[in-house]
Amino acid sequence: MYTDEYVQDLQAENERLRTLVDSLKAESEAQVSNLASLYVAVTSVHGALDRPTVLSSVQEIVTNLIGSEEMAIFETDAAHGRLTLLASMGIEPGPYQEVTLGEGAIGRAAETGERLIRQEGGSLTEDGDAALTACIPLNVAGRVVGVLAVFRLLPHKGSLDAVDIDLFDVLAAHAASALLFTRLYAASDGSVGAPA
Amino acid sequence: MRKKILVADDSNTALMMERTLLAKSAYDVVVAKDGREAVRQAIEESPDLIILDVVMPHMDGFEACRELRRLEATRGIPVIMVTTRGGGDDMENGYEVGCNDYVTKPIHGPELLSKVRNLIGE
Repeated sequence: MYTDEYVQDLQAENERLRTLVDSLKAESEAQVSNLASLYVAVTSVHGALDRPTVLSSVQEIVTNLIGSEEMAIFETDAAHGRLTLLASMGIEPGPYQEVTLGEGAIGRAAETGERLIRQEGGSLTEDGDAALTACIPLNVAGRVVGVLAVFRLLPHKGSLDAVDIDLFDVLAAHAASALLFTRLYAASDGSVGAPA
Repeated sequence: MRKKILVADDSNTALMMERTLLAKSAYDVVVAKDGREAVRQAIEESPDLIILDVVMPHMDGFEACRELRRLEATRGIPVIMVTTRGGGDDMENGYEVGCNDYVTKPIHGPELLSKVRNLIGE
């Protein structure tokens, strides 16, 4: 016969194990979700040969996976010491058509290759550099070929998570090479990557 | 038997993310790129659940949900709406047209899966 005390001990142990399993499941689900985000980002950004589609993919990644509807994507024009705006969303594009290398947070990110990340997100009340959540230099083989500037986060997003920083790393490398490839592809009249 | 989920979104990235998460959790997934296609797929595929983005071309998520609730064949299918707006009008409108629950973008896998399980189980 089992004593009441023994049964109670088993029930308590059972409850402890159930809680442990639930917490491991939640942890594993969060990891799968993070890996899925990174997989989707890499796959999306390399899913096209034309520049507008690649730019649109970058915007979709920032909106759907990171959580901002305000951004700008620039290309480096080293010959003229500036960045030129390739695409923007949710911001007034006028002041950002051309950004001088080294000027402001965006120009500095391009010149130094150092990213700016504000974990808490850009200011919801101020504009300009204060509104920036991130300036991510887009690098190919150590050369900064452009910058992704992400302004305010969606209000309910609150702040950046660890996976968002990983997504910025993915975009820094993969958006850069995808954009460079679109240029090569266009210059080759579509012959790059065509069957021999 | 695996449960079937219809996901409607005009963003390839969002579709790929939702499809990846749901397929990894052993759900079958069919997709639509706009609200009109979502309604057609819902009639043809009889999914166990529909995930509708609010902003879509041709017919937005609200209109699509209203239409799904109007049609005999689809009115009982649970609907989760997906929006970039965390509160206010979007949510109110969604419940008015008959959605069962909401998730906000950016897509957060555990939250989405938890809401899916609440409505249709594992």
